[in-house]
Amino acid sequence: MPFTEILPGILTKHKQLQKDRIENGSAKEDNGNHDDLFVEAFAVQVEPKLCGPLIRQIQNQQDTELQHLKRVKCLPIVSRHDGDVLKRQKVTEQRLVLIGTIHSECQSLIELCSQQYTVQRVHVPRRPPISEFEWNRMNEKWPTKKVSYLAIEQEQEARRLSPDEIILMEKTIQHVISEKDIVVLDPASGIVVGRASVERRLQQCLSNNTINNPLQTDIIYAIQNVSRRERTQSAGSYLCTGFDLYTCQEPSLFEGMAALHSRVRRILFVDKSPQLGALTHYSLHTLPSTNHHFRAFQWHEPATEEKEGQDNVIARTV
Amino acid sequence: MTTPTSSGDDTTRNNDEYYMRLALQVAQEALLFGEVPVGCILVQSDGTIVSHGANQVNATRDATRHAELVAIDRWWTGGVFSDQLRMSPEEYAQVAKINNLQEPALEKYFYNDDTIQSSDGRLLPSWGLQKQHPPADLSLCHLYVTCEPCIMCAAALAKMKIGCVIFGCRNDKFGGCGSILHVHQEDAGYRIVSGVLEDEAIALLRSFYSQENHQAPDEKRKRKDNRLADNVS
Repeated sequence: MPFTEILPGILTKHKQLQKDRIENGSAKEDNGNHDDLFVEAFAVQVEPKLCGPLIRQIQNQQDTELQHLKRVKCLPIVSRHDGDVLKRQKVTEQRLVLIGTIHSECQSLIELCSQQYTVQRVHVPRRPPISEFEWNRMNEKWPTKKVSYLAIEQEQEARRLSPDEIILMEKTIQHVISEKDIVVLDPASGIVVGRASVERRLQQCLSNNTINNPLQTDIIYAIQNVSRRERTQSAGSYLCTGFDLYTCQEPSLFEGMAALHSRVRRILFVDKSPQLGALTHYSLHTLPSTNHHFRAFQWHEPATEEKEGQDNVIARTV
Repeated sequence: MTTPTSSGDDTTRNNDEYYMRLALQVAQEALLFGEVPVGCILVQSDGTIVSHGANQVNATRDATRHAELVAIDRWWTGGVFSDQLRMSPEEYAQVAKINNLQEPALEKYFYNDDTIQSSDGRLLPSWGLQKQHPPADLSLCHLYVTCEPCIMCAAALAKMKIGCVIFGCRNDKFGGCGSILHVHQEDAGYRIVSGVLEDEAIALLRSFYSQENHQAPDEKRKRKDNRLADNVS
């Protein structure tokens, strides 16, 4: 299988753990040694209303080590005896906001936070839970995201690529490599619905300035070629809905988001972007907040297939 | 690290509001054509308005035609690129037919927008097709946009090395300047100012989303209006 699916960091981690579990049985979780399950971390204590602004401030530190954890822990409301009656006092509820583990590079952030808030040391799970039992255990120390392995397995099953799909994908990616073009393909019919080279020619014969326009990259041309088709042929489609984008190089953040706005179904690329790629670095295709998500695959030379097979999530399932 | 900063002194704030009102006016025009009402103005350091742009996604069937990219493309290609290049007048006529718009109005919007009427009735000059400003260093420019640039536009602005971006309301779904990603803080980055005429920008967007649902049953429409009103207040 020459395609590797680009998954967000946390999912890759889950899959690895799942693999470990299958290979090593459940011994790992029941061996009683839970010391290595937790790691020391820093959290700051704040009032609930300050949580939002603080999280927005620290969100920038895209720490993949924390992806399996919830950011905020609610501290229990303090109650105290008042005479004979146990009264629940109206005390300000406090929240703990996780900043980073002792291993993460968050020193500057901690210094910044310590000017305004109290920084505490807490213990958080080192990795995502691999069973419900472990999840319960982890939750006692810090709120942890629950992982439904059954759901992941079912999803993986549903997302499995068919042999026909793989043939079409390979054929198209070979075409893209040989033509050095970018292509938008309608997988249902196998017809190419957009080509960067065509759009570039059409636009450049109207204005020389487009040649130097840094925003007119090949991926943008390919997307705009699909728009042209939709406008002129009354194609009955909506942007790139249901279409796959094939490109030699992984899209940049700008191009990736343009593809997301265009509702592409999949992006297939050959080379990882030399800068921070939209898919491999930002996981743009799986951002929770956006209104559209798509799948992304990297193609590998068949010669290196065996070597890459180690990381090849799909290969194991097909 | 704190991103939402407001402009410093009164003069800057007045300036910001002046240009933002123009951006809102551009957004208002987009609303008339069934587009999401987001508009922007590109201003050089000497105060000259060199370009403007409104969303053209529906008209062009091109999801990259956000206000910011339209403005930059219009400037870069001397006004040829963003509008006429992608569609022939026949194609525009077709779009007009589909959207039940009158052709002359479309013509005004897409071809003769070199002046725009300000709220006090003056015709403001120069950002349209007739007077072309050659592309120059964007780092000397300020972009006034009614809504926080999405990740795509934020990345495009970083690529063009924009000097400063001033925006009205936040974009919780797609925002690339603090809401979802912090594109403006990466590499060289650019300065941002948020919350300029925020209420006006929200009100304009609200008018679009309430307009959109005219087909919906009465009770549902009311509920949506209420919810929007709550969000805004």
